[in-house]
Order: sequence, then structure tokens, then C-alpha cells
Amino acid sequence: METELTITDSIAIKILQGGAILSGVGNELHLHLPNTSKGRVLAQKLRAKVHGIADVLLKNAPSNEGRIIVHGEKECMLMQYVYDEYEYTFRQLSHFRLTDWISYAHFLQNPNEFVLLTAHSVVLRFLYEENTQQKNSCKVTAKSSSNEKSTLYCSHIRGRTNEDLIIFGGNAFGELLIWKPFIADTISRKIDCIEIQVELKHRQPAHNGVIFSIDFDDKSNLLTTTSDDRSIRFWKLERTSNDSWDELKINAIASGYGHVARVFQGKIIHFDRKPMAVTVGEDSHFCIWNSKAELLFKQRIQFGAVIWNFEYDKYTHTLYTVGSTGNLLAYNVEDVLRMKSKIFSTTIIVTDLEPNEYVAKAKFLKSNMLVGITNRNRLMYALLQYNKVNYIHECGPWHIIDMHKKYKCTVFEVQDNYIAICGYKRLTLIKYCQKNEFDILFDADILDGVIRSFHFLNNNSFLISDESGKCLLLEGENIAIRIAVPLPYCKEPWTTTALRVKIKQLKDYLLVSNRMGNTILFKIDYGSAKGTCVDTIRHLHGSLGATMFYLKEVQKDYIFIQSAGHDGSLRMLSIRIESDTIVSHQRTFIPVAWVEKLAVIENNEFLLGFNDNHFVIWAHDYDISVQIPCGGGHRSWHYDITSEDSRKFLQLLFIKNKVLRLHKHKLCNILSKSIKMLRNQWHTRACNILNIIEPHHIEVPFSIVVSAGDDNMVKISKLMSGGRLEQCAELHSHISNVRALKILQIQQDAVLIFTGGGRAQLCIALLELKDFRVHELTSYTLNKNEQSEDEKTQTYRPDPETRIMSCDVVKVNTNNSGNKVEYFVFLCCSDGYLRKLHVSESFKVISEIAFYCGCCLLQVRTFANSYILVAGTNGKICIFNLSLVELPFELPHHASGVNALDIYYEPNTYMLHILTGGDDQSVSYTSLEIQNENTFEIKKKFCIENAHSAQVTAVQLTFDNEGLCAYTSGLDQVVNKIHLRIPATELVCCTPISDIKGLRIDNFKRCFIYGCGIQIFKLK
Amino acid sequence: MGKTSKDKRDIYYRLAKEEGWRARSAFKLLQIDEKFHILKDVTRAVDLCAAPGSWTQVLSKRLYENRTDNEEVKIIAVDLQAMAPLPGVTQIQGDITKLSTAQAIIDHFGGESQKAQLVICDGAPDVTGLHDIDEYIQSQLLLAALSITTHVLMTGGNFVAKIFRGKDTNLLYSQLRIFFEKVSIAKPASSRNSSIEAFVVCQNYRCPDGYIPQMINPMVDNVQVIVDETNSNVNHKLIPFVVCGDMRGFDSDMSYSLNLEENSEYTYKEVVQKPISPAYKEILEKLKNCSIKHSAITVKHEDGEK
Repeated sequence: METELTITDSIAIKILQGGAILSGVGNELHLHLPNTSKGRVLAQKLRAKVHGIADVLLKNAPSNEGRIIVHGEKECMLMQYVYDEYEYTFRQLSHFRLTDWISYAHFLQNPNEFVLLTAHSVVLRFLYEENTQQKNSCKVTAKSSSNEKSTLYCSHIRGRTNEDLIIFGGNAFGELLIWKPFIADTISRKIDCIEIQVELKHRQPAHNGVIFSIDFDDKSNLLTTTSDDRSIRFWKLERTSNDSWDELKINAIASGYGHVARVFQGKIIHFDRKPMAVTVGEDSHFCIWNSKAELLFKQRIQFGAVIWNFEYDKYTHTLYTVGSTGNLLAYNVEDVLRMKSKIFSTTIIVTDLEPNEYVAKAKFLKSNMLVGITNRNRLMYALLQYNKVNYIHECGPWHIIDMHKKYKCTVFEVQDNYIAICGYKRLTLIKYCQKNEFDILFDADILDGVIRSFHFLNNNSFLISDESGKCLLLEGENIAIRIAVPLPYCKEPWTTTALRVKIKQLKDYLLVSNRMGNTILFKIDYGSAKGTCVDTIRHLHGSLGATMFYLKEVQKDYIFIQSAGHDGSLRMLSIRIESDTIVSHQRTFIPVAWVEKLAVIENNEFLLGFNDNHFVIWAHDYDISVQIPCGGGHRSWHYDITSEDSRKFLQLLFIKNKVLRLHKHKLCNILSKSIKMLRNQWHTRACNILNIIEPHHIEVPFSIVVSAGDDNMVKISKLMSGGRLEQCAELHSHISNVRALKILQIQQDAVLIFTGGGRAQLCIALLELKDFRVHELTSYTLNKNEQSEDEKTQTYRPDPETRIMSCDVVKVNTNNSGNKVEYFVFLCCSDGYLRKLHVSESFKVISEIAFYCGCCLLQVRTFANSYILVAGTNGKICIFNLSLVELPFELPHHASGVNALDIYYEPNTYMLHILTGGDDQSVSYTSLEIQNENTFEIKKKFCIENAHSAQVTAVQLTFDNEGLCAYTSGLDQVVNKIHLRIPATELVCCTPISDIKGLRIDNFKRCFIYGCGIQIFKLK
Repeated sequence: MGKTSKDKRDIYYRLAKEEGWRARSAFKLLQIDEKFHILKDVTRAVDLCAAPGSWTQVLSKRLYENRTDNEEVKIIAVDLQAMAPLPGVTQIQGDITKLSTAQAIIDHFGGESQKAQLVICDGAPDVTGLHDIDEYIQSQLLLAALSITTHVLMTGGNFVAKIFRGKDTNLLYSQLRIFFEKVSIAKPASSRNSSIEAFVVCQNYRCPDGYIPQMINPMVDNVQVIVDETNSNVNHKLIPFVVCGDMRGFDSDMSYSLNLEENSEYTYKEVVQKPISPAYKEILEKLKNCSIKHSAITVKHEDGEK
């Protein structure tokens, strides 16, 4: 089997001699050379998942050489490698299996010697011997067994010689177990293999739950444990002398609770000779702690995936994390460890203030110039100077900018060289000229009430609105042109953001969002100086107004705009130029609760906003890269991007407790902090279903994979050459996990994607294959119609909360000419109903009918455009016609649930082939002939019992040289080929993908097997 | 999600609460019994890893049913954790890997001639999310249960235990076949279709000739280094797969309307026994008053505190 791609759990990671990083991904070993940012998969593999790697330098070797032990489950492989800066060459020395799980591997001083610790506290000492005549061998030279036999969840070995070795183990009861396998006087070297039993030295109740990791630092006698109970605990070991472990005292120092889920790994690192600890866990975060368990830093890094393990490179101060999506992600923590970030924060002292006067609003006018307005309505400015030696900002004296009249300021906005101040009826527009001079361009009453908003649009145009909803589009420095924009009347009618898009001599659009959350599109008519409302989207970002409109792309027929608000999501909007209409295409969830701005820095789009009381910067490729505690989003704040010595900095200005603060952050750090490694963007939870759109069209020359999973996402990825899956689009329309997926090609370059899942939700989206734009067409909740009727009559109807388990779609032409297309969507649901939705051409659900089948339904397929085949947890297959009338035909296929189903229909011979995989470990096949309307005759039927040694969850029919055949897989992680004629099973391969949910075979004979991850391999 | 949401999605969770079972798993044993009649005429039974006690509850209900000679019935529940008492059940708080625990069970039943007729074990580890580890640890638990069972079970007795089916289950089947005449895999209707859990029903215990039951786990002390096998297909041990009877006609994968019969009223019931001290209990307590989204809680320990 030739593997093209493996994405699955990565549990083991090691930084090798010479700086390369070796990580285990499933049963494979992936090597990354940091200098070249290249990665490759080693030819040497385990059969089991790689759980641990140990490394040692070969000091006496003629070239740079090292040795590693790679282990997983009961399997162990010893390898040797030669390295230089750009190349590593590996060869296998020995590969063997134990009869028990290997918990830890550890080299001794002599690199030909190593020890393995099993999960039941047996230490085996091995000697590797090279033998030219015979095979190289690993020989057990000693075996020591502890009297404590509880299963170890984690362990750690300290020491490099027999007598030094100390074993630390952690079990499910939260106990820390310490023992010494080889005591000097019990070791006799004369015998081939010595066997000894030893007593446990120390049993320490440590946690309220499983211990997942242990680390011990000899220098500081510090020990850390991490656990199921979400904590890291620091312990101090007291020994009478360094060599003596006889009288051991273990004192708990402190516990740190910084993770919100299980803490899977904790290690002690040294920085500036101080011991610290790093932890990672299920919550996708890493935490850095000092030895008193005080949190120094916390950061989400693996984009929501579970982090299983990490390594810290002490030379580059980089953390390398690995997790459930197999990604190796790097983060530079040098600044954090040096506590540099604190130095960047400065309090700005404002001089010449009157008693009780403070700056109420402040902005950057330039990178080195601040303007502010005080609670006494005085406008002031000051110059900033950056002191490079002390890393601090020095703020010069504040000067008053003279305004004709002081009035209470409600709006204070700054852009380029303009300052806009608004209050009751009045607008003051000031321009900054050179040499610290300010010109007042405009200062007069302009509206009728208290002005609530002022937006800078492009090319000297501005939008202003007041509390009564009066709104003007202004143009020119002296506000010569005033165009009335009729905002709809409501409680809070003023605008929250606005965007003007002019298309040369064709259209002039103004898009605004009001406080009530509605997005309104206006067409501006210059001649009559009037704006006309042409379209509205209600509650685009919930019941609060949008905060940002960003022009993405102007095409011939469409204008694409990205919007954001206070609901933690982005929306893609499009204005159709021909019809002057605006629609929301797609919603994307992001981990920023309040988005305020979008900034483009070095061609990367960064979103600036707030999460609780923190200011954050987020980008799709970098996740959250800056977090500054500022007190929250309800405050006057501003930012500025500045360059110094060709490095980019972010300056954040905000007011907290009436004090003006400035925070400076190195931005090049954002870009390089997470060293760019090719990251897959696969599902962070199990993938439940997958489908392939084959390359069929000159404009779409690659296979497209559509997948959906327990992370509530539908992903669309391109399969690139070299087996790389590149994500092209993501659908966030599901509120629960997604299990059902059907793709329907409607044009050469467009497909419909039907998805169903938990919370009775069905979504339909249109995907354009040329540019991967997604249009979310419908999100429908089953029984919705009935519910809404009930709401009217105020009766309570206990409604089943159902899951859609599988779906299929039939396209129907409802008139004779065939140009009106509608859809029948068949859904099988966990409440035992088979449902049929009639979906109109415009993707509205016209009707929903249901048929009760009596058990949880698992599979549905349509065939011959006339029949529906259904299977459920009772193991039987039933057939319905398109009107949901059950036909008198029942096919028992399994003793229990039908977990997997595939059918193949031959229209010429009217033959239907059905292949199923069951919970009863068997694979069943039936071929039927459709005789005449609604009668079927069984032509062939067989069941291969125990085709797998666990549930069969994946089946697919395909063709080989002999005709129709099939591939199956299940929770036993074995892929079998089923010969349908004989019938017989043939083992194809084993896969590291656990909890397999299905498999697909494409036209290139590639097998896509998915579940906890995905593997793509070529079939013979 | 609402309070009743889990009631709708999980019929057995709801029925367990309404019928007073401590956990939904009670139905699994009831359904296994429907098929295999393992509780019939049993008077001496042991529940290993018993907490929270739903299987013991089933024993306590079924073994005393329609009996006049209640003194005959002896039920022992073994667990490391303490659990709420149940009528007619003797609790042993102990470790199933310890010989002393086995001896305590035998003594309670009245010596070597009065060993248990049935041993059941519904224990499962805290799953990590890595299937290979979870399967391994479950298999260890099963072997530990088997190990103590060889001590306390009378010849001809039965043994029921939970397994996680995965890539190494064939090994387990063959290990069990050494001690029992018939080994079946049961997947009761109340065990979710999507779950990797299943049950081994081992009938007619017959200790192999010359085998003296020992508290040893075959995995632990007999570690041999075996040169890696070839990639040949593992001999599939065929185990008759028997699906348990459809006792109630309820399907655990199905979601149910809250009113099962028309006009009957639905009332939400609290769980019979909430989980005992989960690992994250402490942190949940702490998070009642503060958030650790951007910070952490540090707890200082006094010198020598455990």
C-alpha cells in the first residue's frame, strides 16, 4: 500500500541531535528540518501508533550520528541516523515486540544499552549488539519488576546508569509511584539475564484523577505531575544525598489550574537558570508556569485540536506542539520568558490638566502623535518619543488645540490627518497641517439632535447621523455636498459602520448598519442629492449593529463585502449590481467575540477586537496572536501600525480607569512567532462523512474532498499532488455535529451540498468550484412548520430532538419542458422516521412528510430515480417508493445495526447490488433484480460472518479487473477486499485511523479512509 | 441545551431515572439476561467494579425475586470507591487485583465449596480519547476481572464483562476461551450502536486441567521478547455474535418524544445517583467564583501536605 496522506493523532515528538524535529503521526514518523521548513515521512514505520521517542547522541561516531527508540503499544524500533544541517538519513537497527504495553523508553550512558518500562512496572534492560554474520540483535540483559502492578498511564525515567535509574509512574487513582529497579548489590553480571523483584519506594497520593504526565528535574529536585483534575502540581523532593533514594520526602509546593480540560503533558524547562514548567492539554492551550505554579503565559495554539505532547527547544526558545490533527506547530516563547511584554506597556501622563480633568477619548493622529479630548471638552495633542534603550515611550507635553466653541463631545473620530468631533447638532472637522498646526475646516450645527456617529468613507466623504435618525452623506473638506440618507425609523436609528462602493459611472452604493442590527443598502443619486434604500438584511450580526464592512472584491456582476459584529462571526455579503440587491452568503465563526477592525499587515488579514476584557488580534493562519488585558471593548481605544528599523509594531492606545495607556507589540513577532509550517486544516474532531468530487472539467482539474464532522464543520478541500489536502472553504452553518452529506452536481462548475446532523438541522449550500465561493442557501429544522403553528396556539408539543443520520436527494423536473427543477430530500432520522422534504427551485422547503420505521435509522440511498432504500439498528433493509410508501419487501442483512451501506445500480440490467457492514462484525451482500414495478427478486445473497474483528463501519463497491468488488473496514482498523463472486475476504492493509466512520474509493483507485483523522492510499 | 434535552436523546437515561436505576447500564444487564438467562437460579453473585451500583441493583432485584429463602441469596459488590448501600448486598471496598479481596469473597460465600455462580463486571476506565490506550486499559481491566474470577467462580459458573472492540480483540477472545466453554459477544439494545462497547458473556467455567488459579495477569510477569511477526492476517477467532433480545423494543440510538404514550404526562426526574467525585470536581468548585479564560488559579500547599 502506498500512502499519500496520513492525518491522525500525533502523540510523540522529539527534537533530534542537530535540531530536526521528529514527530509520530499515527504509525508514521514525520521529520521536519526547521532551517528549510521542509517535512518528509520516513520509510520506517511502526504497525501501532507511535507513542514515544527517545534520542541519544553517538559521541564516538565518525560523523554526526544519533540513535532513537520509537515505540507504540507493545512494539519497539531501534534506529540510527546520520545528520548534517539539511539532511538526515535513518536506518533501522532492530524491530521487536513485547507482550505488554511500553510506557517509556530510555537510553543509558552506553548508547548500546537502553531500558523499556512496561505499563505494569517491569523494567527491561536491553543490549544492542551488531553482528556481521547474524542479524543485529537486542538482547534482554536484566529484568526488574516492581511489586506495584496497577496500570501506568504515564511514567518518567531518571538516571543514565543501572544504579542511578529511578522510575516514576502515575496511575488512574492519581497515585505517584516511585521505585528503583536495580539496587547495586542485587546486580550480578555473570548471568545472561538477571531477574529481580523490587519493592515500591514511595507511593504518593497526588491527584484526584488519572495522572497523565510526570517530569523530574535533577538539578532543582523539582517534580511536576499533570492530571485529569485539570491541574499541574509542583513537588519538591527531599533526599539525604543526591544518590540516595532511600529516605525520600515529597512535599507538594503548589498546584496551578490554568486549563479548562485535561492536562495531557507537563515538562520542566530552564530559562535563565530558573526552572519553569510548560503544560498542554485537551483545551488546545499551552500554559507556562513558574515553579510556584503561578501562570506566566497562556495561549491557544492548535486551533481547537487536542494537544497531546510538546517539546521545548532551549536554543531557539521555541515550543513545538503536536495534537489530534497531526499538526506540528511552533511558537516562540522567548519574549514571554524574558517577560518583555511587560516593558512594552506604558502609562501616558497627561500634563496641564485641571483638577478632576481626565482624557475621555484618545486616538493616534500619527504614529508619534496622540490627540485626546478631555471630560472638560478640551482638545489636546502630544508627541511620543520612543526610548530604545529602556523600551519605553516618552510622551512630551500636551498642547491645547484651539476650538471656537467648547461643547460636550459625543463622537471623536480620527483618520489620516482629520479629526472629527461631534456633539449636540454640531460637527467640528479639523485638519492637521505640518509643524503642529491645526486648521478648522468646518465648525457648525449640521443635524437636529445629539450626533451619535461619524464615519470616514473614502475620498473625502463622510457619513454622519444623529439620535433621531437623520443621516447625511458629506463630501469635500468644507462639507459642500450634503446628501440625505433616509435611515429607517426605529428606537436607535443611528449608524454603527458604513462603506461606500462606487463603480465608475455605473453605481454608487452606500452600505450602512444601524444600531438595531439591520444592514441597509442605499443607492446614491448624485443629481437629486438623495439616497434611496434598495435592500435590507435584518439582524446580520444579531441585534447589535455591524462594526465593520470590508470591501473584498469587485467583480463584473458582484461586489463582495466582509462584515463583522459583536456575535463572534464574519459574514460574506454580495451586492448583485444588476438588481441592486444584497445577500449574506456565508457565515464563519471566529474566536473573537467583538470584532472592531480589519487590518492588512504584510498581505495578511488580521482582525482586531475584544474577547471579554482582552484586546486581541486574530488571523486565520495564526490564530490569536496578541492578547492584551485592557478591560474590555466599551472604551475609547485606537491602534496604529508603525515601522521601526524595518520591524513592524502595533501600538494600542486605550483608557482604563481614566488613565491613558499605551501598549506596544512587536508585529514581526506575530508573523514569525508561529513559525510557518505547512498546517493541515483538517477537522479537529472525528470526521463522520466524506465525499469526493472527481476532476471532470478543465477548470477543476483536481479532486475535491467535501467532509463533515463532529466539530460541526463542513470542509471543502483540494487534493493537491503529493497528497496534500488544501482547504478551500469551510461551512459553519451547523449548530451540532454533521453526519449526513450528499453532493449534487447542478452545473459543470457548481454543486449543491446537502448536509444533515444533530438538532434536526438540514443545510443546503451551493459551492462554485472555480473560486470555491459558498452560498448558504437554507438551514432548515425538521418539524419547524408544525412548531410554529403550535407557537401561535400556545400549546406545548413535546417534540423529538432528532439527529439526521443519513440523507439522499433526487432531482425532479416538475414541468414537462424540464426547465423547472425541484428536489426531494430523503432523510433518515434517529427518532425512527424516514422523512421526505420537498425543496423548491429557490431552496425553500415546501413540504415535509414522515414515515415511522420503528428503529433508529442509519442509512438511506435512492436508486433508479424511483426507490429509496433504508436500513437501521434492527439490521433490516426496507424499500420505499418516492411517495414514501413502503414496498412489501424486507431484507434481513444483520443481527443488529447496519453501520455502513453502499449500493450500485445497473440501469441496463435493472440489477441492484447492496453491500452492508454491521455492528455484528459481518459483511452482507445481496443483488436484486427489479422485475416490474415494485417487485424485486433476490439473485444472490451472502453474509461473511466475522469479516472483521469489530464493528464494520465502512463499505464501498467498486470495480476491479474481474468486475464488481468491494472494500470494507471497521473499528479493527483493517481494510479488507471482498470478492463478490467467490465470495471471499482478502486482507488489504491495516490503518492507523481509529474509530473509522467510512471509506471512499475514487476513480484513481485511491482509498480515502476517515474517522479520527484521514488516510489516503493507493490501492493495487 | 435544556434540562430535558438528554431525556429526549437518550431513552435509557430517562427510563433509568424513572425506574430508579442508578445508571442506564442496568438495562444492559437486564437485556443480556433476557437472552442468556444468566441470572436464573443464581443465589451467589459478585459484581466487580460495582460503583455506582446499577448492576448490583439488578442483582439485588432479580436474585431476591419470587424467593422465600432469602437467606440463601448472597450478593457481593466490590469496588475501590464506596457506594451508597443497597438492600441485601454486601459491599467490599477493595482492589480486584488483590488476593485478599478474592479470599474475602470466598469467605463470605462460605468457603471453597460455595463459590460464586456468577461474576459480572461493568467497569470501564476513564477514556483518554486515544482508542489504542483505551482499548488496552479496558482489556487489562477485563483480564484483572478474569483473574479474580478464576478464584471465586465455581465450575460451571458464568462471567459477564464489558469489552471495547478494536483491533486487538481477537487476543482477548482466545484468552477467555481457555477458561470457558462458550464465549459470546453481546451488544444489548441499550448499548449505543455508535459506542465501541460490547459485552463478553462467558458460560460454563471450566478451569483447564492442572491450572491452579493465581493472582497473576498473563500480561505482566511473562514478558518475552518476540521478534516481530510478519504482516500475515491474524487468525480470526470466530465468536458467535448474538444480539440480545429486544426486551422493550427501545433503541438506545433513537431519540424519543418525551411522552411515550399519548396523554401520559412527562415529568423531569433528577438522576438517581449523581457521579461520585469526578476528577474535575475541585476545579468546577473553584470556577464558580472566577474565570480562568485568561488567567489561572494557584493553590499553595503547606509543607508536607498531600
